[in-house]
Amino acid sequence: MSRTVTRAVSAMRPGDHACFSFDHPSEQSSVVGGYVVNGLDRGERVVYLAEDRDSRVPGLNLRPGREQERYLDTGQLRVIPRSSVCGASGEYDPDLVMAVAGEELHRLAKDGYDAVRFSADWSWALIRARGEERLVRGESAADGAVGSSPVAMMLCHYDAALCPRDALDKVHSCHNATAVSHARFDDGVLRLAPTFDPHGLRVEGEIDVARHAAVTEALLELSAMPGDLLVDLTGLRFIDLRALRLLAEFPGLHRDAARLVLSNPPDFLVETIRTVGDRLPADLVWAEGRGT
Amino acid sequence: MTGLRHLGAFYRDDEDLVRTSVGFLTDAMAADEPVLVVLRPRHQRLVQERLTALAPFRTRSRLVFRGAGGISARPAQAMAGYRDMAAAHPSGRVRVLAEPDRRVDHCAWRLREWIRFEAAVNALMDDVPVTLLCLAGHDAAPATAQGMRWTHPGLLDSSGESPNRDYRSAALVDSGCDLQLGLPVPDRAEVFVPEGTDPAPLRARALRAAERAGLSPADRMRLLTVVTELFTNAVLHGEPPITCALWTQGPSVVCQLTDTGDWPDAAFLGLTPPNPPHTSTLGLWAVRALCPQLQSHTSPTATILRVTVEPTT
Repeated sequence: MSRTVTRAVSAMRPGDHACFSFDHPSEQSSVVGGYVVNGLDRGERVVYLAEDRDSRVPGLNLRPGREQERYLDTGQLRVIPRSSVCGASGEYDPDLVMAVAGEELHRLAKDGYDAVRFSADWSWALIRARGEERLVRGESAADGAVGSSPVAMMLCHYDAALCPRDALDKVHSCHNATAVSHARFDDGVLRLAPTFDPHGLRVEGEIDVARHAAVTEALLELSAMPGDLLVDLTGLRFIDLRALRLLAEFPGLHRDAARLVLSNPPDFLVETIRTVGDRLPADLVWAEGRGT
Repeated sequence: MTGLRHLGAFYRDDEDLVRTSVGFLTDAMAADEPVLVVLRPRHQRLVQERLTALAPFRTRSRLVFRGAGGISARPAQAMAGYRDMAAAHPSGRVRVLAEPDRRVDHCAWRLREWIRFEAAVNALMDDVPVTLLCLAGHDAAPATAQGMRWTHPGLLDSSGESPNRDYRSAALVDSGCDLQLGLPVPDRAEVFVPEGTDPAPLRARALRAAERAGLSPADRMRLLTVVTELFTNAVLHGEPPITCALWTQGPSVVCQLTDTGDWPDAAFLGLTPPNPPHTSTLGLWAVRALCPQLQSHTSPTATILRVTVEPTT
């Protein structure tokens, strides 16, 4: 399907049937967690298909104040066991997937919700015998249904380490969108990309006044996860003084944000900090052994 | 404890310089006032020898000696250093004994920025409890001697302290430093009006100019930083359109930005050090710290900022 668009997970909207392949569990937690939390914050229903009813939604419990039980109790979050979409043989059944989705859509208005977000990790189904064939059929059907829906969107995720590349490409092509982390930014001058092991942000290119907002948004999104946020500056080619101030002030201005730990400063940045470092509003924190 | 005392003294020869300096320093030691000494290396050695001879066992831990090259080359840092020293001794006065480095006599921009710095001391440190004594030889270049007389409210000689009748207001001196900004830019300048508010295209042009001039990678980064800060400042605080002019001047690169806004407070641009956590002046202070040749000219219809980045020696 040639109509696939790339969509930041935070910008997904009804009608989007997005595919997301991840390389690391923390990448899955970041992106899926962001998608789920966005929906919960907007008062939408979230339906997550998991191994069983007690399974955790990736990334949700890692965010402060986002206990899964709280949303399960109110019914805003529904965790559907995998067995609901499996036939008698225990295999993924595309028809059951559509039936379950149909039931959820049917009860949506009755339960008082305007929109629903579906999400599932389909890796387990794709790696089974005839998994590719079944998934292509199921994802194509879902694409037709979700793509024309004014109230539903769906994020399908696949573990790239588990799934064969060819099969992944085929199921990917059955989606009308490719989901990426919101922290991803590329305007040809600055490229921001999340890193997942360690958790952080890789900065490549130039940061200036036209790009401060993108940096702030990326840091805010990634710092919702617990622990320090490592900002890798290896590819930094320019940074203005306001951006340096932004990095120094960020933890103080955003109370719940992570501590920023900067690493691999280029030589020019070391020089700049030597000149202005003691005039910044707060100390920059450097990764041990690689700082200035 | 009153505010600033800013004195100038002309010395006839080495002996006169040493006698004046040692008198100032021994008075400071008697009053237990810390002193920052910013003299040329030979003068510094002569003063230290005389101090040792006069009072060999007296502790001089409150005297800090620095090289005199910093004032014209690093005026933003020098101003910050003076203020920081005063802030570190809130219960009493501090002193500075200084002289311009020798290059001020031979280099137009160093002379200009030294004169601007001395005027800025009067304007920006008026409330700081510091006594500054600046020295210049009778053999100083006429322009250097004139700069001394324009910027020091009091003069000191063997008969004591007296008011300086040639003293000029700090604002007048500052504006006089930048009169040539009212002239057209050279014909060879690349003049353009960037679209939008993105500084990246200006940086790309500045980088090409830096390559043509042969600036080192470190000096190129200084240029990119200062032109970006000035452009950002014009975008955030000026009025469009912003006209940029870039040209090479020997081994240096000059960048001039003109916007149509009026900026009445532009005097002594970049010489007010930011004091964390209040860092609103960080950008322009950093420009001056990275590049001492920062000039400005304002009128009701235009604000012109010019920065010249020369190779680091």
